[in-house]
Amino acid sequence: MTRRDDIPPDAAELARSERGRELVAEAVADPRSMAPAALRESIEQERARAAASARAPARRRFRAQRRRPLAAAGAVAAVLVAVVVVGLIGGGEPGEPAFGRVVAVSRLAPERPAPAVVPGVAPARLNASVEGLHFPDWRERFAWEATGRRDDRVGGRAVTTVAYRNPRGATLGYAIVAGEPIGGAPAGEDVVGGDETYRVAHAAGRTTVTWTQDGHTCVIDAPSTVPDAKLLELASWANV
Amino acid sequence: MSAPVVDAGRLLDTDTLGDHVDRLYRAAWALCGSRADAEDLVQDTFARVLAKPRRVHNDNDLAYLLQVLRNTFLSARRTASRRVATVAVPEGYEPVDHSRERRPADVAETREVFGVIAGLSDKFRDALVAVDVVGLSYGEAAALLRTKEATIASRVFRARVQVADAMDPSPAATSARPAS
Repeated sequence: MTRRDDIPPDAAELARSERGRELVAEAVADPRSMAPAALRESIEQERARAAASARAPARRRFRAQRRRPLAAAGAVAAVLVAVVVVGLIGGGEPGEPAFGRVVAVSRLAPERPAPAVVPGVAPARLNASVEGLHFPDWRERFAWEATGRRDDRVGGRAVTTVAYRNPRGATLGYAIVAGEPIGGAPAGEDVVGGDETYRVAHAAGRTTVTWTQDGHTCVIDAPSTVPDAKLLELASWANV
Repeated sequence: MSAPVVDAGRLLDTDTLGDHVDRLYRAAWALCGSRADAEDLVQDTFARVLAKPRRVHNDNDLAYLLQVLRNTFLSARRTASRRVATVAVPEGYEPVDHSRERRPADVAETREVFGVIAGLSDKFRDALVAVDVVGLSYGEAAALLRTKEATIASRVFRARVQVADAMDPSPAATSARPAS
């Protein structure tokens, strides 16, 4: 019996194969078939974390602490009282969104207008929240103004990001992840302020501050030109 | 008598992994047929690779990564097949992505091509992904898929015909030979 592979292709079939090769080549060359920026960022963070983990002699988890409200006026002093641990946290639990992807979406451009300021409340806040946790209005206190928001889903979780800008044009993204806190924060320095612990990480010209607030993972991501102390001040004042 | 030579391999260079993200993403898209699933697959693949130091036994990191990607894909597909079926997303659905401006016709065609590749039978799809999507040589693809180089060449040829037939399904153009 003649096997199909033993039959030499005819001219028409050769032409069809060449057409198929061209179609695939065009699809592969299409710049829109490149990996999305958020995925690249996420993988780069994963890679940096793995590299740091390989260098670290041992892992330490920072102590889980119960949060108490911070007084806004004294927040910055409290935040900077101690740098306690240079530690690492391993990857998140199965089914959780990858931390790197949360950070990556916090860097994307806003897709919606900035949330309005809620009038007559203290501390000042925006009309945007994730499961009861509101985004702050930093205009009066810090001169950082909300410029837009975006809503993404990462690993099945809603991630809401509000973008802010200061008078000098620096921008930052502040993201809150719906649901339980996620693991896998990037390697960095743990800074304790009051009863809160903030992870400060630097990579590729960016600074990322992460912490857990009222059971939600919060992320502030900014260019490293914004001082760590300022980001910690914002973070410690942020959630209301 | 000399001791047998053991190929201990070398550690995978994680510093250069980022160089392969685009090609792996395209491969994932061609395996899954959906960009959202492709993102998750690439993410899972890198998480798996970075979870511990990896030894590779040749100079081709890309082939190694494609192997892990394919194994991760097959593993996820097996797991999914054991789950209760859920409501499917409509055919051709892609989430809105505002991040890049795009021309609708081009986007549709690129998406269709990847969708067609994803719909090929496993052996044709795997060969086409390895050679035409990722850019491995026939020899590298044969080593990856554990078959002969000639078999890879034949599968790639026939897979290309199937892609052309699916994308330009005019009766005169369509190959008379049955797909197998």
